[in-house]
Amino acid sequence: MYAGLPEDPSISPLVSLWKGFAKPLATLALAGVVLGSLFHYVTKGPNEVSKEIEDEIEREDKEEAK
Amino acid sequence: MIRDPKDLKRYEPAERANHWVVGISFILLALSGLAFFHPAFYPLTQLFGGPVWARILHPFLGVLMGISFLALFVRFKHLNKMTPADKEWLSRAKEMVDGDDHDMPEQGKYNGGQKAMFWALAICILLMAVSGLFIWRAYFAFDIPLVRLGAVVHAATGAVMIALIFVHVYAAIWVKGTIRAMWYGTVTRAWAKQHHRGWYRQVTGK
Repeated sequence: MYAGLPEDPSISPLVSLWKGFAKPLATLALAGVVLGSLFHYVTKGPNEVSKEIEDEIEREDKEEAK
Repeated sequence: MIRDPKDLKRYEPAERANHWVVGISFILLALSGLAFFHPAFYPLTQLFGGPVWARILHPFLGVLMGISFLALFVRFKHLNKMTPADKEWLSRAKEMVDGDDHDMPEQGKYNGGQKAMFWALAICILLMAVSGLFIWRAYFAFDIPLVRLGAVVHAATGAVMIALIFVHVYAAIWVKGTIRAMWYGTVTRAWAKQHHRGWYRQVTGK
């Protein structure tokens, strides 16, 4: 039943690197993106259309209506 | 929402439907994929009827997303070619991020950041599709080293993709007046003039 199995099995270094180190790091990086975005919104505020451009459009509409 | 008959059409219904099929399949893939990614997210499998169903459904959802993204890619690739103005926009992206976007180079339908996002996602989805086949062991039997490599590439690319999509969604929320383009298909003229002046000139002739 166990024929063919290695006598001294080992975990592939690729698997160790990924599961042991990279995955927790990637999870933290994802959390960083979420927190970074929240921080950006709170510190910079929303990016709204400027009043200047809204007024330009309104002026154009009034001129067209004349 | 006040809708003006002079609002500009940005997306056809078929384009929006295509986008949302990709979006919904991505959300389902991210939720099930995160459950396989790290034990902290394992309870997410319950959203799919348990871990077995999550594992069964995930690759089929991947096929749905792959095909629907391919359709989106064919629709929009000609609008996402990088131009010198896009490269200049990207080199000055910090001004945009700082909320000071008034002197940014004039942009067409998409800005340099959106185009970079488009190509980055296209590369990610290609990597996800190929590596996903290597680890879809219910239907494919690749050599073990290839399965291991596939698992690493799939998970690493998946993490990058989740981050990219989060930035994509955040940018749409941050730039007010953007999300309605994908709900209703239209944007205000002021929005277009401020953020995509080249496209505004093209569609209005002004």
